[in-house]
Amino acid sequence: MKHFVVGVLPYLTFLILVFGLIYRIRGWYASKVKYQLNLFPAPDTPGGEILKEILFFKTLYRFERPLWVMSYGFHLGIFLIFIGHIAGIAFAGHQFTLFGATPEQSEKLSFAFGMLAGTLAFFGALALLLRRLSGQVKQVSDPWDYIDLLLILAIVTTGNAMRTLAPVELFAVKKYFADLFSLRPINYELPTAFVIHYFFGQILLMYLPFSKLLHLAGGLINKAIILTGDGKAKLLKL
Amino acid sequence: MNAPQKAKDLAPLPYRILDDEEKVRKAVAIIREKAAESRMFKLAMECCTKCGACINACHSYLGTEDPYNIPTKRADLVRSVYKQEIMPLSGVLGKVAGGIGVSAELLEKWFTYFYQCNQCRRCALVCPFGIDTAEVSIMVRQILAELGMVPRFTVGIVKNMANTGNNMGIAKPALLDSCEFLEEEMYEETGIKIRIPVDEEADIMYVPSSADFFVNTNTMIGVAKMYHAAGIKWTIPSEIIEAANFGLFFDEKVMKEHNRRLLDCAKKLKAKKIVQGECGHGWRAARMYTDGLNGPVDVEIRHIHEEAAYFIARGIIKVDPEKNGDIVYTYHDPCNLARAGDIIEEPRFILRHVVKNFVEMTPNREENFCCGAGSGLLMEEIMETRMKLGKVKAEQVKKTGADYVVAPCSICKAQLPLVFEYYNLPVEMSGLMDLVGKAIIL
Amino acid sequence: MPQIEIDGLVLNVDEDGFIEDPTIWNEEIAKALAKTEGVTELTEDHWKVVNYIRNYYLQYQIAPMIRKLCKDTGFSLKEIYELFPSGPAKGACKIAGLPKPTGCV
Ligand code: HEM
Repeated sequence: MKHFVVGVLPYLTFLILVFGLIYRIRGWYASKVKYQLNLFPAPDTPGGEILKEILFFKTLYRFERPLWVMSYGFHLGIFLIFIGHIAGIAFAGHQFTLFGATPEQSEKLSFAFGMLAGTLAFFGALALLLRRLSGQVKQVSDPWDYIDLLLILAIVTTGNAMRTLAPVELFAVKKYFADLFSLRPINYELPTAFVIHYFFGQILLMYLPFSKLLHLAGGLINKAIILTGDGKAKLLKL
Repeated sequence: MNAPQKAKDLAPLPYRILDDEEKVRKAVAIIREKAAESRMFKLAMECCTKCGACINACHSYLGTEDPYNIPTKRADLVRSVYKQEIMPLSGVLGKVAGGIGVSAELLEKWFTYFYQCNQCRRCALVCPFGIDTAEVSIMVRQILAELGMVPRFTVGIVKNMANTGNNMGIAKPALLDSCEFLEEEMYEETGIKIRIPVDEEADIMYVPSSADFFVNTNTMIGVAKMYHAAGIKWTIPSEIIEAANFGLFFDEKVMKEHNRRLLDCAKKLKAKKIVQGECGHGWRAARMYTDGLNGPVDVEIRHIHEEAAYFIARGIIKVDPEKNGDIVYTYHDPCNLARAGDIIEEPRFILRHVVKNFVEMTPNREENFCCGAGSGLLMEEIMETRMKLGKVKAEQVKKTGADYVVAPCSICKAQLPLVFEYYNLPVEMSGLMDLVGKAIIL
Repeated sequence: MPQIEIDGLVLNVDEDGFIEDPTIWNEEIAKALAKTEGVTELTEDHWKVVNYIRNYYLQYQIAPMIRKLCKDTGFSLKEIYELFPSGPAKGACKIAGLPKPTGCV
């Protein structure tokens, strides 16, 4: 079982993720935008608006401030985790040496950023879950909406545990990924905490292309339709 | 549950009444077809994160307090079928995602709730992803039409449109009589012979709302006075005295046919410019959909407020705000004019010139709330629902303390007086060109 | 098709209670329809309005503009509402045997 999760499943996960993404996004582009469906006032630079949407969650900030606080914290956490995983594993915690830190300082910084990201994501997800369980938002939720958050919480919690309660050696993880990427057999043991975390992570990645989590792509494509002006000149500039 | 009455005879629509079994059998295929056609509908079905930002943005939910009127939950009525039947991996994920199959009862629910949506697009404004439940609503009404479910009221309008070129069913002799009467009225008032030319060749083809020849006559008078004062030759086409294009709300074919008629008339009258009168969705259909429906076209399409603002700004017409008195005016942004049609600042510019006291209501401009009858929800039998849909508007108006609401859209003009009466607001209401007509110096 | 019976008179009406076939209209029918609109007795003033609308309809197949109706009958809109509580479009047109005015009204 453990071997399956670390030695076989990752390749499956990869295929499902990549083909899933291609399949879904191609599906969207197969259907058309026949009419001009934007909302006014149309921004001068739709691209810039999209960027503001990605960087700041502008619409949510404008109309749903309390949700923005939770959501922004949560997503910022996820984003830092994403970056942190790539850098942290690739450099085994020594990524900050690139900016002149000593290896020990880098490990400390890596730990601190990990704490920040893990805390943001955990409390963000928890806040979103509690919000979803209460009153108005509960009315619009289906089982999957909870499952999404619980799954993320499971990943974040096991991740946080590996940083604090059951530390995992980053060098071992780095070696594992190096072996995995170069298709070498994985014939050694990995810490159980890691395997559990890793398993949930892969479930998320496989499930991502087929779920509402794909809002990160579809949502932005939709927003672009709304934001792009119709390019017609006004009779009078007011 | 207050649903419009369904038409028993759909002519001249190209659909027929189906029995329940046939409806259920066909529904999924039609949804699939619509998703393949429209990216926005597809994305709305697949990408909502259920964050709930739309809940308190929707006047329909705020007024009725019925959870199915929450935009995302309204969309769920069809999204649940989509998840079950169409979404990739639906077999595995569908049920847990709240998926359900189509049933006759579900279709009835669609009919009820998608006809409690005013297609005002406020949800699209507040959604972080711009998911537009109005677009979903348009699509679902289209699906319902293809399944033979259309309100009797709407079919009546399509019938009148096909027979006479306007929603009310005014034939040319009646139109000529009405124009002559309005010309006499203007002569009596001003001592000047101001014309309302019908079917004459002119650069400008003005398309009024047919309701301007029944109740909102001052709107028509305002327009006639304005073009007279500007010294510009204009005309109205007897074959389409209807800016409103009800097809936008529920049927693409009807929309296209109306739009084609509009363009044909412009060609026949050698018009270089089509000017749309005070109708919200008709403006959206003409401005935003013409290219996609029958385009590209070489005729310019403008709104009457663009014209009026331009004439005022350039000094082509002169106006005197004194003539509209000391009372306080406020402005209601028709959804399809503002959010969906970019006529946001022009009416304000005009108002500031034609009245002395103008106050904004909150929220305003693209954030404004619907009057509660948008998307053609003018059926008498759903009056109770209509009043609930107008509740937020009534509260907004009340807070302004204004005496007079300016609402330049025939649907708003039909709905608002009833709303004000129902909520005991002693305010008057009219279009904007009405006030231009009163303030204009001839 | 719905039917209503008023004082022994059976009428085919549409879902809004307007008579299905405007050509069958006569004074008896007008009196019967008036009852459904909260008008218990048709006075001379009522008839003035009803006949005006009816004649306009026979000539033009449509209801007259409200403004023209007021001007030509000499009643203000307020007075018309006093005569026909549900208003000129719904009440008066119904009693005059017209189809229900539709569109954005
Ligand atoms: C450019 C990338 C992204 C953008 C702009 C974005 C934006 C949003 C927004 C605006 C919401 C709605 C507000 C809320 O409920 O929190 C949301 C919800 C959500 N996002 Fe993202 N997101 C992005 C990427 C991601 C990623 C990578 C994940 C995790 C895999 C994720 C997970 C979630 C979840 C689980 C929710 C639902 C939260 C809830 O149930 O309340 N998002 N996202």
